[in-house]
Amino acid sequence: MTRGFLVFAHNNEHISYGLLAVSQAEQIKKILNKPVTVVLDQATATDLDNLRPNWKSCFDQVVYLESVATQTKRYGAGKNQLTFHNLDRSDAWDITPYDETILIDTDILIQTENLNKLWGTSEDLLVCDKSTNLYGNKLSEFTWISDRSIKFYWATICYFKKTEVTELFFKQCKWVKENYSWLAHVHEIPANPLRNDFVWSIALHSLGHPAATIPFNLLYSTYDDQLIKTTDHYVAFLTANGVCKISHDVHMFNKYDLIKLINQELV
Amino acid sequence: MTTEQHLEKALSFAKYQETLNQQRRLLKEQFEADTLLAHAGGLFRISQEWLGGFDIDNKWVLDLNGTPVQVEDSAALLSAAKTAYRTALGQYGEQYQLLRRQRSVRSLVGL
Repeated sequence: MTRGFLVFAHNNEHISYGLLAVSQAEQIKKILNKPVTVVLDQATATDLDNLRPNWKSCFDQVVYLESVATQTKRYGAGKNQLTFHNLDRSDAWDITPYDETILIDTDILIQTENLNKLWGTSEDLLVCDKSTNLYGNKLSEFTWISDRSIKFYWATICYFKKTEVTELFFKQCKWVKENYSWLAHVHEIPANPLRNDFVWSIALHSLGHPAATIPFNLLYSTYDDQLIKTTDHYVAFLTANGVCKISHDVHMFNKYDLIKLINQELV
Repeated sequence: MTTEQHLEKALSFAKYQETLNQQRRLLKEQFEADTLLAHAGGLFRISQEWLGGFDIDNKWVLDLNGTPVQVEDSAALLSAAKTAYRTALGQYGEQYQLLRRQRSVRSLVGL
């Protein structure tokens, strides 16, 4: 039974997702001791060749997949509209080389061994529905996909076994993606940009919720939370409510600070 | 003490208290994550109630998702659960005591 992490990394104009993936893979190897497969495009690989010539050694396998379509999104208030390549995530089932996979976003800072507890579960699919900001507040936008619609699930972290059930789930995600404009209208969500969390939520809903949930709370820092200190054991953020010390895994919306953190490590 | 001084002291205390509560909540969250135990394909959240209600003669145990899990060796599960809980609670207790000794926002967040 093979086990490993799968990450997707496609750079845009400002953010090197490739660099985020390299840093995360190092954390995964150090803290969770599991192999990581990265899916990236040639431009991201070329960028990594310049930034980290030995980047391939961080990964168990490298899969090249050109991004077929792009969309744009704003990375925080007052920031530029940047391209965003996230449309190949539904191909995870076909791509993963592992029997058991944890599909994870590159902007999650790994600081604990929590995710290792998911391996070997009897469930085929574990999805994430519990999340709070750094102050423990649960927002309605991460509870329901819209005010009068269905339950929200994060695509940020997901565990799956390679089974018929999960194959069906990922095929359903592709179907949702293909019919997103119409489904966005039905579920009262924005039709642009396509959001994988919504794809996940609609696919799970339409299949009658064939998944159990990950028993951890996903902490996220917002675009406005600034990373001010890092150590081996914790990171500290400056937020609108003050300073906050975190020794958990954190989903960082503020990619700019994450890149700064990585570059400081590399110096 | 003037009203202004009193308000300044109250505001400073409120900031300290808010940060203390925040760090306490995060510690508790980590404790809850640490009490998760994976066994025989099931995920269990170990608590005093779970340990107290565990029936060693029953080979079926309900996991966190309400899935019945067949356990071949109940004694091994109970032993693993006790160890996990003891370790998690020990760490939680020590870190909680450490937190309570901090008397400023700066020391609470390690700056």
